[in-house]
Amino acid sequence: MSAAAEPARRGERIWVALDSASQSDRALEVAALLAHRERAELAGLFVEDVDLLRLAGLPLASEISPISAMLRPLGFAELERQLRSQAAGLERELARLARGAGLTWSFQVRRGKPLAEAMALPAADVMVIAGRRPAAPLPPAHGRVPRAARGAVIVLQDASPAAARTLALARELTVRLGATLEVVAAATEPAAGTRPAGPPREPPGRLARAAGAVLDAQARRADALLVLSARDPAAATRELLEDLLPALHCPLVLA
Amino acid sequence: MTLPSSPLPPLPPERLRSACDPAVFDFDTTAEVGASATDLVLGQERAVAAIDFAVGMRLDGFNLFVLGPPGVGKHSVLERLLAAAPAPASPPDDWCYVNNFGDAQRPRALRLPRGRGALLRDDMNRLLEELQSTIPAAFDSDEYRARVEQVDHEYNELQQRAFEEVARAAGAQGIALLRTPAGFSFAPMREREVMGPEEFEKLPQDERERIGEAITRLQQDLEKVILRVAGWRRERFEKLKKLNEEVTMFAVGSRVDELARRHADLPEVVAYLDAVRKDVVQNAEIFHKQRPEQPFEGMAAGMSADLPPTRRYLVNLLVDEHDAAAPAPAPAAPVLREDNPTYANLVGRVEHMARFGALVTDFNLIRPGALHRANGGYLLLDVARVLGQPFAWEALKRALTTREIRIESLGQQYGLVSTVSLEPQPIPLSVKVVLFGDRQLYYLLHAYDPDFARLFKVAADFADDIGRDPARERRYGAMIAALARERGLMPFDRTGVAAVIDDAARTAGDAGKLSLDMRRVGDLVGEAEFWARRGNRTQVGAAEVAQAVAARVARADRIRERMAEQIARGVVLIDTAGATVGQVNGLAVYALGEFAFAQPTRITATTRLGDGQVIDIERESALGGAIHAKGVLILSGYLASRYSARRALSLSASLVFEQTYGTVEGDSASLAELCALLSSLADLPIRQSLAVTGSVNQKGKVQAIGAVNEKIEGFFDICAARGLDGSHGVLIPAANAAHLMLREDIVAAARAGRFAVWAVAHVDEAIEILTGTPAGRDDGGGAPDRGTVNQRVLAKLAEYHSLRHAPAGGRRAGAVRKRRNDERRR
Repeated sequence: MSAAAEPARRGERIWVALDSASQSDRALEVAALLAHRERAELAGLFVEDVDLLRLAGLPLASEISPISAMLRPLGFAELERQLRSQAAGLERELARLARGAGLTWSFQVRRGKPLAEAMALPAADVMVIAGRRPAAPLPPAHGRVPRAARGAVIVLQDASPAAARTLALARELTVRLGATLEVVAAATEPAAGTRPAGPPREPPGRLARAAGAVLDAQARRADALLVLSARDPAAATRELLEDLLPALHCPLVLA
Repeated sequence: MTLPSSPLPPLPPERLRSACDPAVFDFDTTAEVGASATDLVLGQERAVAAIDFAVGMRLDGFNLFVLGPPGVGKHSVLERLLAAAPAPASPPDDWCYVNNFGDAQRPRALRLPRGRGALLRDDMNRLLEELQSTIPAAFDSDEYRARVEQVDHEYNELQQRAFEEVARAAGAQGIALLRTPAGFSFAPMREREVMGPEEFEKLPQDERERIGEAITRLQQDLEKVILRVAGWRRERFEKLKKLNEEVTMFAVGSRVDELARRHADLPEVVAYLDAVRKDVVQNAEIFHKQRPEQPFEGMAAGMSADLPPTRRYLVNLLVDEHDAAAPAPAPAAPVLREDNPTYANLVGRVEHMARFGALVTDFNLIRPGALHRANGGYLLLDVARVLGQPFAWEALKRALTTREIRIESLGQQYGLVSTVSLEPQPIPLSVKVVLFGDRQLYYLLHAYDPDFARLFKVAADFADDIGRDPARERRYGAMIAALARERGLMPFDRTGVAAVIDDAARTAGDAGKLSLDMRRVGDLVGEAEFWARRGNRTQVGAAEVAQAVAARVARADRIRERMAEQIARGVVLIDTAGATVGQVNGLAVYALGEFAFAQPTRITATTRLGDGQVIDIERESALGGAIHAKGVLILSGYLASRYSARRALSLSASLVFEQTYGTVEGDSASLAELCALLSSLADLPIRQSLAVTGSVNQKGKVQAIGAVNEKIEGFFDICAARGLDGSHGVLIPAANAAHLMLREDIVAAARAGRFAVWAVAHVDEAIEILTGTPAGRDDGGGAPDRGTVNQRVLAKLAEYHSLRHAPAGGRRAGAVRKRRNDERRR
């Protein structure tokens, strides 16, 4: 099934889930690309992490700057201001992208656990979860080196019925981003790049562990894009993501 | 003093015009003459020798000033001689400006053998093209990416591991490392969640203190990690820089080496190429093509005020006149004529480009001046134009003195502009400057500019004319033949050549000279050929030359015609018949452009008792020039010395040019004025059918004047219009008789006895002809015969003296006696 043959699904939303630790630019770009493809609304979700808000309420709360190593107190009000400012900036960027692509858009701010809030979004919608910013990002090696290929699109293949659709989406993203496609499968699955067939023969937990081990190595690449099927049993997906997300520097597409 | 005892005869008609005899030529038409370009240089032996000397002299300061009147062929002669000059021992070099990689504000000048400049420029253009593709390709290669990723991976791992160690250590103590929007923070955890404030407050005091101390230690650890990250980044930067240099060197090194081998005989070029190599390696990023990822980024990049950085590797060949692909031209020295010698056109300039409101420049915008283009050869300049351009003369002298061309912005020098400009390295100068100008400028510069004599030691003084004899007429004929051939004109027959030579004598204003005004001769030759062509002739004869001269006069004749008309209608009062006391026809010349003509002017004199003053009304009314005033003062001296040597001159006289409303200059009317005075004193009328020209000295001798031909012709035309009856004529100085080249119609009138020209040497001769009364001898101490002009003048002055010095009663009696005599005379 090719993406071009797939009928447009008007009225759907493409969500992009962001929080204060997000590597947002690539996630927004991918979400805008998907929304344009689907002729869907580009919807932004910014989650104010309750863990941070709790931290800011503690008497010993303080913050170390990564650019000066200076320690400064972190108050609740100060944190709220930072979060609001961050959310406003992301909303502006999302709006700019949407207008550039002629898309309708919306932006929500919620308070909670980022992953939990993202997983609470409607299951039918495609979702892009931004990767984590690296603790100390390296500047570009050569400012003007043209990129021959823009990273890799990594798609996790399992034996689920949605795997084919996920693979098709990954292929289209590969073309649109000028990236390379990498297909990752559990050891018991057919060879990479081939269409899986039949029901899964591995229990979900084992799949998650097997895939996670591979993805863990790829996920540090900021120029990558990870595509997973959201149609997996929710518990398995969530377990996978909880392991994966803290070290994931690239956006994750749940389709 | 010997005075003529009988009236002077007029000049014979054959002395009124010295026509060239066509028989002097040994050809029928100029087509038979094997004339060459050398025939065009006639009568300029002195100037040619000076030019030859200046061209051959290689010492400093022997630059050339070519002086002489316009039209004598100064430029053409010089250019012809320079073209024939031997080639220089070594051909002029090429000069390039290249970037100074140590200081871009001071571009370097490179000297290369002739033709090698273009080669280097083309080499560098090709190198640049290649680098623009090979360097990006090298950096876009999988190998380069792999090595960058390898480096990045190494440092990412280092950093990640360091942060993870801190996070792990924190986790072991029940503390989480959290990312805040602007940094990192540590928080106590309980069951995978950050502990809330209430919960934390419920903890025992010692537990809270333990957590606080643990967090403090963790913060210190994290601080160390962040500081180490900065060091790792520097390490990574150095590694990547080294990698980039390695990659760039691979891309550029072999190509530059190849160029260095090609120019190995030029150490300066090799050094420059080495500097290029180093600069490319250090600045490889400028070769990467920008690929804007977003529209606004692309626009911003295009709006940069900076010039493209790759321009620094171009070569600015200042003078590109040699095509390396063509066969090597003869190594002649360049001869450049700069017709607009502004400061910038002489020494060059640094141009600027407007880039989004900013004026920017680089060494590629250095533009050569005439000194650059003429370097190693000759620069030809019109001195009046150089002096008329601000700062140009000083710049030229400075360049010749320092022997280098230094490009400096006048705006920068005088603080008029504040844009960033360049200070290009000066270029050594070896040029022979040739200035063209008139004699007045040459002598003024010599007198007032101390540098001039030091820098322009050779003067080529072009003659205005040459002497006339049959041999020179033949050479002149050869020159006319060469002119006709050079311009592709039809041939001249010998009568046509003779007519042109007659016109040259007339232009010289001397029957014994031939004008060297080549422009005028060339124009006349061309115009005569035009009329011959229009008349369907196959060769040009005397008739066509005469027609050309007449047509030329007719084209310029409007004002003369209007003035003659005013005389004919009686608006301007000129008598050409009868006789009047104290009134004479003078002759005034008008020069309008290249056309000069003369008209008679009535001069009147009145005399009365006075204290020896001769009043020049022109001077009193500030309409007389200094020379004219001098002439009138000479008259006073003449009157006093000749007629009143032993007593005070008791005369008061007034002289005026009637109906003149402009200034009068020159002393050519002083003879006429003196004659009018004598007429008034002697009370003898002057024949109005005659006109007079000439100056006198204090001894009464008549001196030569200018434009004698025009003056005679001017009076002749007025008389002829009223009808010649044999009484008409003109008195000229005897010294001017040799200058006569009158029109054929005047000669014919003289031959028919209807017009006469007298050549007088003394005022007595003139007054005798004008009054028809003998002047009267006064030499030998005796008194002039009674009734002569001089006797009457002496009597009148004696009367004035006695009246002036008689007692009061006697003076009245004398006055009464004078009145009675006057009434009786009337």
